[in-house]
Amino acid sequence: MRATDTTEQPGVPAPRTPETDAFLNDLLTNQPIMFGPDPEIMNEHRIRPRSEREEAALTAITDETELTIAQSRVEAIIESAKDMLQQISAAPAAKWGDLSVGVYSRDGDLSLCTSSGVNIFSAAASPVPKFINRYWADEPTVGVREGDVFYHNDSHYGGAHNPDHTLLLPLYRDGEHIAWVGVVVHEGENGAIDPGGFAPRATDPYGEGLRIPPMKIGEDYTLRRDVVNMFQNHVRDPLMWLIDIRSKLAAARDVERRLHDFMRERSPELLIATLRTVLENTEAEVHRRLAQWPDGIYRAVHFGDCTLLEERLYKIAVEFEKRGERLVMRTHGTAPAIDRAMNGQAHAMKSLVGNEFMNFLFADLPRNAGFVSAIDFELEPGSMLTATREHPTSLSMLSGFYLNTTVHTALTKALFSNPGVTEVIAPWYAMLPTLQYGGITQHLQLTANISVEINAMGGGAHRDRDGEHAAAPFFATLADWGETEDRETELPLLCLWRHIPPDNHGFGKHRGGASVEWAYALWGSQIFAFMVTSTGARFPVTGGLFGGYGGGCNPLTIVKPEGGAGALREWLANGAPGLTYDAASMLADRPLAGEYEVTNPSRPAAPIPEGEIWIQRIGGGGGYGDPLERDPQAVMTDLRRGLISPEVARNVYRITWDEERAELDAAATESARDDERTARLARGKSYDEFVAEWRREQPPEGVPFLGSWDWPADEGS
Amino acid sequence: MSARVRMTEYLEIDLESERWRCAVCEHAIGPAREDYKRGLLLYDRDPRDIYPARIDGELSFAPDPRWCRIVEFYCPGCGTQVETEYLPPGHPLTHDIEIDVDALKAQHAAHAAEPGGEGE
Ligand SMILES: [Zn+2]
Repeated sequence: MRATDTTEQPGVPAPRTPETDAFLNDLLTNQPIMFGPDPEIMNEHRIRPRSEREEAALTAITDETELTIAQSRVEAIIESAKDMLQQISAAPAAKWGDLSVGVYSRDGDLSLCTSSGVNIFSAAASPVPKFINRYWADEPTVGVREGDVFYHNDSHYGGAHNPDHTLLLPLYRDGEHIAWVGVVVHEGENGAIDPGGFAPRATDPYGEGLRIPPMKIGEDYTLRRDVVNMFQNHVRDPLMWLIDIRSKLAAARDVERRLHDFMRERSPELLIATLRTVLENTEAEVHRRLAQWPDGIYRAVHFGDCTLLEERLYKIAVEFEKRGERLVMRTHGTAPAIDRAMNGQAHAMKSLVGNEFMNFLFADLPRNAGFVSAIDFELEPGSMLTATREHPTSLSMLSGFYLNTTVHTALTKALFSNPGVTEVIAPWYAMLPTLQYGGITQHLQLTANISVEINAMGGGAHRDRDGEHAAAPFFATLADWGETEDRETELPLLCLWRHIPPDNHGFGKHRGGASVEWAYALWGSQIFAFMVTSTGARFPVTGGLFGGYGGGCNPLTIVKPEGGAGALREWLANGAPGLTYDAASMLADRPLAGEYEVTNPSRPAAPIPEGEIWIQRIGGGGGYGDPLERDPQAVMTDLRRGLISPEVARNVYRITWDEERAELDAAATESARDDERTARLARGKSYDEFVAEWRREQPPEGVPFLGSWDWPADEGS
Repeated sequence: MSARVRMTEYLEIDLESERWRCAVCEHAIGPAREDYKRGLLLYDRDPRDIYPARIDGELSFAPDPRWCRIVEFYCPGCGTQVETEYLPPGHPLTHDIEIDVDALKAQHAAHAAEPGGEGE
């Protein structure tokens, strides 16, 4: 009930008048304390409607061939700028492909983006120029003019996560703002509580280091040295920051110069019409292809097993409802947002869905914001995938990568009957068990970043063939995992091995691609920290598809040699007796005297003694189809190559072989497989009988769990 | 005449009878408007059967069976492993495919009527 008595009384607010309304309105709209992330921009995943300028340009350009040629030319411009940037960047991730160059519409929709880079950027990047357009263009103390240089890294304003830094230039022609040119690099180090860009110990965003909202850092193509200096003062790698702000500016200017050439030779109208057409065509084509899939509802769940500072299961659940040409994504049942850095923001999670379409489902289309624009999202608020600005998010990949796995699994089931151009493939490995570090190098330089073994993710098995080993990260399929020699030259590291251990992939009719185990010792520095921020010690990161199995488990192994670096040096000098190039065998055999520890692969940064060895596996891709259908000779080959253990050959693939001659016994294999099929029929239970035994009303005791656990009332009880 | 649509590696929908069928042995698994998993045989697999433990202890390079189980789904006709699901013990099973059968029939009919479509 509202109070109706308007008489002024002590403690009762004065009545509203037009004057007070005007005052309040001005206070609330024109006098903000600060310009935080704009919820409208952050929730806006659709491309903007056509502007008048775009309408006019589209009217002026009538020849579709011209648009196609122009698109290719812009793509060539950004690809070559990306190649150049990869060569001149200092960030380790950039050198091996974790970067992107793109051109946005004047309104801020990313319209053309390098296909060989990180496609997550294509959909997550648009809020940044949109923010600048809305808040800084008319702000007298900022403004947007030709030659301005803008910068950004705070993912609450856009982008995938804070280690990714975006540099933007507005593109002008004869005084008219035509478009935006953007360059994104995974730089890493941000001056957070932990070194290297990811901050597992941050329990709120204020521990995540430098948070740059979209801001102007230079005019007339000249960086403000005092602003750059302020950035450098915040971080552990001031040299990398200086080099890379400059190298991103150089790449953006290269694109700008060549787009100026293009507009001079052709016209600004052609560029505007091309950028618009690509966005609209991509969105329309996604809808057209979605219409081919059967209507229905497709679901998948997966579970992470570590929330950075403790072991807990957390659930990521997706549901896609596909009707006609529409696809709605829902995430109810997913774990809530928590005070750990693994929360994802909605816009970044949507862009991961865009990545799935760009890299796996419709990989033939140009990369841009049109993909995500074609999808409807009904994401549950308050979840680990829809974190607020007060949640830490630097490691949003820990929830986002599981989201990728569930999205991939559900959509592969949706499209199987009518795949069109899509290759049906089991889930890719998606997690980040890569070395992170910070400290003083052997060159007495302060540094902090990540090592790029993350790019060695094992590929999922294909419908018709095995997955590729140590292929690429699912978010940047042309990225590389770098050279050991480079790493050892730059950093105080001794690489003991990078080697594929047995059973490190999903088994199936077609097996997933395996991946490598890395082993690094600290070497040549006494002031250096190691860190790993991953999952998958108890619950596999990757599942299988259509009867295939997922990957195994990948704990972290730490060896502290007795006698430190000297003892390690001596052991190596003596030929490393007993060395097996495999953590599990090292743990079993202990060929080097010392302390051995096996733990979950999430350990915040701490200085370690020289000579300490950390060993960690990157995981393999999921398997496809019933393992009993795998060609027995292919199993023999896997066995001979050490990709699988004899136990797996026997117990999973059910092959029989002559161990001395390593020769398959085809007849015995066939009968062993028949026996296994018969055994399945004997041990398998009907659905209701199974559920009656299986069903628990809550998670098992001793297994902390985040997410829903809702059995339908009528199942098995 | 039978119009079948292959929905997964091992599952078809027979549009005529509106039933899920095994693509290997043609076993009729159940109504296409229901969860196909209800017509399969299920088994609670200890993950250490699949991934050999390489060392003693909880973190053995195999999944921890207290945290993770593999539910295997077999065709009751031929014993083919149609699906696997990785779940914490006792967690609800996933109704992963819920097909709009009427829309599928309409889509199939429209496709068959197209020039060059399969007029089965
Ligand atoms: Zn069958």
